[in-house]
Amino acid sequence: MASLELRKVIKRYAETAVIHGVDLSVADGEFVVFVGPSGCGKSTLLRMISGLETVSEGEVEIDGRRVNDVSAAQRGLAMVFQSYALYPHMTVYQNMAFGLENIRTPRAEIDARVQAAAKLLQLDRLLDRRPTQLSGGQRQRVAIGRAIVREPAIFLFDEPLSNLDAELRVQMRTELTALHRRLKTTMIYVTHDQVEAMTMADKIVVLRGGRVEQVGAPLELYNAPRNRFVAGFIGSPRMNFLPAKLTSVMQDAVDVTVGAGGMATLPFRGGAELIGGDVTLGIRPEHVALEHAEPGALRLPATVELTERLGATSFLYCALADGTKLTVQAAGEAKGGAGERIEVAIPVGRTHLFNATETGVALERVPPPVGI
Amino acid sequence: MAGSSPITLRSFAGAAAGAVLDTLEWPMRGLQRLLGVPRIGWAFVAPNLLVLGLFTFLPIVIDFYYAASGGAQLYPAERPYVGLENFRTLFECTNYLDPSTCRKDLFWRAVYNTAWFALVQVALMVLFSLITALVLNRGIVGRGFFRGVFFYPVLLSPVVVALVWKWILQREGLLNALLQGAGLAGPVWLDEPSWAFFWSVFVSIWAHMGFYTLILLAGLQAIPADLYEAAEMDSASPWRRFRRITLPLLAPSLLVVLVLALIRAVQVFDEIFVLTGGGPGSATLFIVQFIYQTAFAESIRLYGLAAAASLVLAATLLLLTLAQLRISGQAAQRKTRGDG
Amino acid sequence: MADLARMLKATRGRGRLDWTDWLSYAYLLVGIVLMFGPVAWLVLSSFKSAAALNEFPPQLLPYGQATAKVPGHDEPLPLFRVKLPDGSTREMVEVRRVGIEATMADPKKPDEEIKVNIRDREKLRDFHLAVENYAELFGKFDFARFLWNSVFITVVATLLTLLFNAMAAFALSKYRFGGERWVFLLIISTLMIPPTIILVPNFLVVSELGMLNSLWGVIWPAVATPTGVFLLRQYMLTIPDELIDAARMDHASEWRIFWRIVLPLSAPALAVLAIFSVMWRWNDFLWPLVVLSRTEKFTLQLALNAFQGELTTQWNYLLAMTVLTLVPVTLVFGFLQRYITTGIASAGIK
Repeated sequence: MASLELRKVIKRYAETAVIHGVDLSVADGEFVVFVGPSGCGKSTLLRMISGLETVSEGEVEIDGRRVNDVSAAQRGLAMVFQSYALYPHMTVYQNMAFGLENIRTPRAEIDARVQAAAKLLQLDRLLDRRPTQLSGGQRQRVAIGRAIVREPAIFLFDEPLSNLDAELRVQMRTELTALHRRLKTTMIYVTHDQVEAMTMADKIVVLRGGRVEQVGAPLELYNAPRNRFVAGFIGSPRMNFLPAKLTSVMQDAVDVTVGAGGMATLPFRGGAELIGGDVTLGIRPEHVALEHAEPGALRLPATVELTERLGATSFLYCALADGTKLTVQAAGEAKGGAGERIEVAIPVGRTHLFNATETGVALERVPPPVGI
Repeated sequence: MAGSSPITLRSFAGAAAGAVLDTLEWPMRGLQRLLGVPRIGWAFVAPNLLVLGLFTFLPIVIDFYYAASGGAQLYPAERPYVGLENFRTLFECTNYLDPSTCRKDLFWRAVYNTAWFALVQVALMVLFSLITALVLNRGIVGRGFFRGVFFYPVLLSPVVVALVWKWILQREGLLNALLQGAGLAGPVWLDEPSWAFFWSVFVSIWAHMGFYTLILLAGLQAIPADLYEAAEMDSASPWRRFRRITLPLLAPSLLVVLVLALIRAVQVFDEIFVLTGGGPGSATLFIVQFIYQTAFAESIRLYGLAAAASLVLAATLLLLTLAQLRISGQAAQRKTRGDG
Repeated sequence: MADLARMLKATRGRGRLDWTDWLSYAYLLVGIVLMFGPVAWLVLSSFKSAAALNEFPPQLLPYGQATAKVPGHDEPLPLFRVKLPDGSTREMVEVRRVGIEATMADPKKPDEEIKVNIRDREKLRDFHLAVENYAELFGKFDFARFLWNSVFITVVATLLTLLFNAMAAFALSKYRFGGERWVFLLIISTLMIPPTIILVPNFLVVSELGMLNSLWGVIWPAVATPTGVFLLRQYMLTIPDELIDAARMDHASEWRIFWRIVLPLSAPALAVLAIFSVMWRWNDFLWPLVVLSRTEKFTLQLALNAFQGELTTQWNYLLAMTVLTLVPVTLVFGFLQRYITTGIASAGIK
């Protein structure tokens, strides 16, 4: 169990930088998830922590000790690979024992540890099989078992569930979370699936293009995304983005005119430099109301293009007056079919406001006064 | 003007192809009507089978008769039947470990030379091919180029190979010139029995190593890279990675290389014949040359003896192949054992 | 250049070169020298005159006696560096030589002649390619004939091999005529037969067919290669049967189907087999040695073998002939190296 510290870590291939200065702190026992679109550098970052990639600039510290020059074999970490990387010519037992043999652990202890891990992961009847004789889920467990047996300071997971089918993935997710609760070891987990991130993480690190976009607890990222990218990445279905113009700025509120028609006063601070300019209004599908709109909500006319009814929820895919698409998530079986004109209400307290630049930085929302 | 040449060449080839098509179509259509579509396959396979039959299967059968007949006549009809006499002649030895006590001492010399050669050459060849494949596998840029570098000698004809090295090994050749530059004096390499044997091994490895390197390289590249990464995370040292991951997973390719090299080594002839002619004396006389000499180069052509010797060789190769099948079969069995 | 830089920086990982990297590069360097060196030496040597070849230790590059054209003489005269009595050295040409005394002249002042002891002068050389080694091959030796024999055998055997093997492969991959499995196994089993055991009886067969001492005696036995049938069959199996069925519906005869559809579609495999066949036939030695005993029928390989091994070997011609013999294969290597190496690699892991 250990803490991890990354300071201004940069990774270059030839002249091109793929990681542009990452700072990160992981506390002992935390389950941290690196998430982001493909090519964002999350796997590269993980491999730099593991020692399989060198660090071009910056510091990597494990438990306060600088490990930049320590080889992967000696960092005392364990990694579960996306393809599991099980040794095909060795049995499950040998696969799990290999790491301990390499550091000359006495045979009796190897046996004890392997048996314990096998029991934990329900592999005890498969110890004599070879990887080719196992199912995908079993192979995954062997890969995890191989890591557990080494009692590493930090567990590293490189998209371990992406090769499993959907049902197995859900099952393994809960098992991994349970494992973390049991072992209490620091775990760093890489995935492109934001659902995995939201459900498993103590802390999420959202990456894009080799840069950290935001670090925080899952609900923090959900409720207060720092920019447009994070807002669109976290939460499924994706947040709706409506083009708008900032017309005036007051002390704790701003006025916006939405392109789809309608004006509203939103509880945001700052934005003086954006007066008269473009902004983006964000609202999650699950927060758009079809009926029982609260007072002060932004009301917009919309035309339903397609309705999907899943039983417990429904999705209405609508178009606003200016053509902007709006997705609404409603509970139960929503009324409203294709072509129907409806009115949607956007509660101002749930909106997000981003400037219209490349980065789309969010404006700071003013929390509602206590008592409401 | 230049643009029209390829067109005319292609149209010429096309016309030639069309001519073959048309001339043979009529009789083939006839055959097709006769045999029906499925059995026309026989007509297609016939030419190949005919050639194979005439120049491979028939000779094998005749070979047995040659081996069992004596005299110096080429035509089997004129050869007296002698049963196993030829084999008895070959195997007549008071002490099998000393060729000079044998009636056909050249045969036994050839057998021992070939055995030693096969052992040493194959061992060294596999070793160097493995080392080269490991070096080439290291993800260097220009691997294709270096692969070609080591493969180039494989394409050269054995005669060229032998002459290239014979020229270097002359008394006043490049090697002795380099040695003289370093202050040493080199002997007349190919006139000394042990050196002639050494150079036979060296030249034959030089000429064939590239081929086996390719096979081993392909085997190495088939090992997924993340196995090595997993082994690194498992704290395995480079040597342990080689011994526990690379070697076991390379074993099938190694076996293929071993068997192919062994079969080839036992039949070595072309480059050695040109390089040393079997000499000095019979220091580099190998079994194929013995067979060739006995049948075609002596004043009395002992076809029967040569045929008998070649059957002994064939039997040895058959044993080697069967042994290989057994070993690889056992290896496959060991793999599937351990069903839980 | 960027590739070279990238290669030099490609290390095992840490960013700095460690000892295994140095060792690997050293090994590769030795490899280049060892693999290309001998052939390069052969080529260089082939351009040296017979006299230059007798020198020991040998010079690296072909050199010949430097000459200069001097007015008043028809032929260029050999140049020497002469040590004069006053200690200076001058480049002078030799006008004539009697014993140890040479009459030298300054090329710019040819009328001034001085007599010099041959010990006080040394030859001047310049780079000189003894192209006559090559040119005289065609005149003095029957090189053109040997070349023709080799080319004839190679081309005809390759064409026949392609045709026969393709027909057999076609039959074995696209037809169910009951017994095609046995035929295939039969053909493949011949791979196990070492050529030596059929050496003598084949000699009889070829002799009976009247093909002894004929190029056809070399061509025919080599035509039915099992490797070729295997290779082509593997490839033809990937051609969809529907194509053939469609052609049958179009009333095409089986022969036409083979010739106009299957064969063109098998072009890549045919190309690989053609390359192999050219190499095998060009380099053939033992069998031609047995079959061809008359010099005018010799292939290049046999001629090379016949011209060496005597004490009076004329190395300058032999070297030139050797170089010419390896030129075709080297060209094939240069252009098609990639195909050959990948073809063998994939065959190795069948």
